[in-house]
Amino acid sequence: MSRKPLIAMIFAAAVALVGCVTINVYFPEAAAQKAADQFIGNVLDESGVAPAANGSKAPPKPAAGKQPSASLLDLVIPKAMAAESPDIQVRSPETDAIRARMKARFGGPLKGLMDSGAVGFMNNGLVAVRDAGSLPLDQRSQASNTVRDENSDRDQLYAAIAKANGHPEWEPQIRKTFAAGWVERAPSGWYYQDASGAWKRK
Amino acid sequence: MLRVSTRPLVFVLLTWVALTWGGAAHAGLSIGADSLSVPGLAMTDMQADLDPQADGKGISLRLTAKKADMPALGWRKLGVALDGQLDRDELGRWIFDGRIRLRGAPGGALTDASVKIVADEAANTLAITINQDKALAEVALPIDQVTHAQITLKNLPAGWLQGLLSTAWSGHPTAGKVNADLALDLLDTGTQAAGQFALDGVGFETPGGAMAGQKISGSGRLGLDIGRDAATIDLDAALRGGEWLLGPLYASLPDHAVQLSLSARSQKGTLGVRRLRLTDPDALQLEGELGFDARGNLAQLRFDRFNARFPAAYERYGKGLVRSWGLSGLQANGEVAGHAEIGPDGPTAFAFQTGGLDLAMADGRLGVNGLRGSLDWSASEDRPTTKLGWRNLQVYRIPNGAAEGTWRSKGGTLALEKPMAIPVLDGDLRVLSLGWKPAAASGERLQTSLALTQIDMAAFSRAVGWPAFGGTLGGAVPSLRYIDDRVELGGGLSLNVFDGFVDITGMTLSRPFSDAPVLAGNIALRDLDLARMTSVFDFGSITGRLHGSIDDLRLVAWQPSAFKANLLADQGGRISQRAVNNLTSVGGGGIAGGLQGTVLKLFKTFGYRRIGLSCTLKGDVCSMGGLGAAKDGYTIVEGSGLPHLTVVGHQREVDWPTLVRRLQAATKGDGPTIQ
Repeated sequence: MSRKPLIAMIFAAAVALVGCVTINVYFPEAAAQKAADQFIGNVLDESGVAPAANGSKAPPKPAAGKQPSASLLDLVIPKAMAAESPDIQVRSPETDAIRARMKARFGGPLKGLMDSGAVGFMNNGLVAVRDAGSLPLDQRSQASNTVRDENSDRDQLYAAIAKANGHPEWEPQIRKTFAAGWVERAPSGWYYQDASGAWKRK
Repeated sequence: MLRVSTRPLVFVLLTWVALTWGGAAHAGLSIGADSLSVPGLAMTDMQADLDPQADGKGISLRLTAKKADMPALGWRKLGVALDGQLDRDELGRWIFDGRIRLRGAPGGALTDASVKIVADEAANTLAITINQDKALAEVALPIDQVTHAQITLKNLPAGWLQGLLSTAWSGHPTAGKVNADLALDLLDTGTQAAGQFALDGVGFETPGGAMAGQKISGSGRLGLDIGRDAATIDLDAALRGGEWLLGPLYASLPDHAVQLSLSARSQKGTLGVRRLRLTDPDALQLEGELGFDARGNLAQLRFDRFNARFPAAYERYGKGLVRSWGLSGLQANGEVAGHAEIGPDGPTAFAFQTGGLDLAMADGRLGVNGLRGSLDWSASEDRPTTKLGWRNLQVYRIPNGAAEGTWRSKGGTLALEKPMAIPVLDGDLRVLSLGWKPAAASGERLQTSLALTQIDMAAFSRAVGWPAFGGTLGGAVPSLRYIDDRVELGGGLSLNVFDGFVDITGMTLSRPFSDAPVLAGNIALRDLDLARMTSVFDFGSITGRLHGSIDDLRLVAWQPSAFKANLLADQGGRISQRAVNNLTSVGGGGIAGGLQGTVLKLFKTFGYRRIGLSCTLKGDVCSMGGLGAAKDGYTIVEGSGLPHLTVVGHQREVDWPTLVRRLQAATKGDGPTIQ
């Protein structure tokens, strides 16, 4: 005597009227590419290293087409080559792993070493111990290990990005771009090498 | 040592005095000289003034030189000023009393010191006493044998020895005070010294900082032989406190006395400790030798015997060495004894025995408790069989039970003599074979074959913090190799979960103990029961069977970085309203409105014929697909019966991080629902 079966029948009829139910699923669309120095910014910012002062950041550019990285690379890559300019933020599992390791390192021992000035950015895109004497004794052997590991990752990164672009021979340019990018993004107080190899404090 | 600096001066003075005493006793005399050179001393631009004292007692003497070199002390281009009275006492001794000022001496030595020189011809002795602040240096030597001297140093700033040390060593002292009682001999071939010494807060540093010491205090006996191209040192000392850094070796000494006995040779920047004996009663006793190259790197290490008690031995002596192996944060408890040898290319032999040792490293990712027994390995010779076992073993978060293995070193490989069973999560890990090559700096270091039986998946899931999967894990790994910090799995693992199978093949794990391990592999899914699976994930219920594959999977720090996934449920089943809700909420929510939405609410489940979804992840972008093309997209769910449900995906290039966030929200049950 319940009315439910009746209601159900009515609705079943309604469903039959409606016919097929189609649900549309809109997955989140992949975001457009971000700034050219995303890799460096990602490593430095997300590892807790204070971001550089606004003035020294790369000038924010309106999204200029699909290749924002071209602007920075124009400096080092001849025009002819820039026609197919490398995408320095190209990602692969290898660069993801390197980024994760660099983040862990900058979030850990490397930050202290950079802050104290014991380690600085070299002009070839690597890092180097510039003043071991300023470190407590128990941290020195670890500092040289940290620098060795970081450089091994950096060498791998530059080669991997060149390879992922399909142009292994671009590695020197990519290295130069990164060398400039690290210094540009570094917080003030960190040390870096100028073109002649002399250490300077940012 | 200081005698060298003053002795020639004294003789120069005495010569002048002897020459001038008779004739010019009462008239002032001034002598200038361009240069003067006697063995061990060269001076240029000299000026000497001799004036008789007003009271007739002795002579006032002033001597200056703009540049003085004393190579034996490592002193070059010093400014020298000597100023004082020279007299003869009633016993017939010559006495000079005055001040000496040096400019530019390494370590700021003798900037303004009082100096007293007593020459007693009858007793054949020359005694020099130098005082500055609290520092005192006394030198006594026979007049007829000036190459031999007795030296007493008290509170001498260690920095003053910088010049002398620079003749034999590239480093320099940085701080502290030195007391010593030494006999010193100047030979044609170099300098020898022997005697007692005491250090108080002494520091030293080499260029580049690879070797250094801070706040070193202690006392003992010292023998020093500085030759033309090599220096040897013999030391027997009791040291208290302070820190040492010798390349990768770092020691932080306790407040109680540590006995150190060594014989070392330094040549062209290299340092060889040919005899080393260290006794720290409650931490470490060892005997052996060490060698360092010119850059301060450890070139060779041999401990003929060591006995270490943890954690003190690690805290005081082990940190540096362990860190140089890429490990940090080692926690150790217990006692171990043995011997070890490391050459320039890595270890060449080691052996240890322990009655109980607990180790944990890599933030607890790898650990062992109750290690008992011994190992004996050599790169070049075969060694006898030993037994080594443990109470439990921790690999990542997975606890392993007690086991004991029989080990033997043959041809440089330390191998398991017979299979060993380790209880793991209610199941068994059988180690059928294992070979470890400790000497391999790169390439294949470890090779093993394993069999896993009846590992409880629920316990495994709990251990790694996953949702509680039911089922068991089993499989054979005919070859697991550790190559260049990468674990390679030959064969495959088969997980019997959700009433189906998950097969993992071609698995490698790179840098397993770093912050960002990289896992690669292929996964095949066979006949999984979707109902059981969805009940674990709290996504809503779907029934049916799931097949599929996840190929070229790359996990970086356990997060997906790339894969090609293909999931298909093609045997039909039912999908709950909640699952449909969640699917839509993952897709942005609020899709089915109006009459359709109202209708949907009436049904708890819907029939489906096929569900299919594919995702190829690269970077942050997942390229999605489904069962096939539909209007403006691809079909994900193909319904069956009434109401005929169709789910269509509309975005092919999908932002993976956002998708994961939405999935997480949905499986937590707080996702938006259909209105």
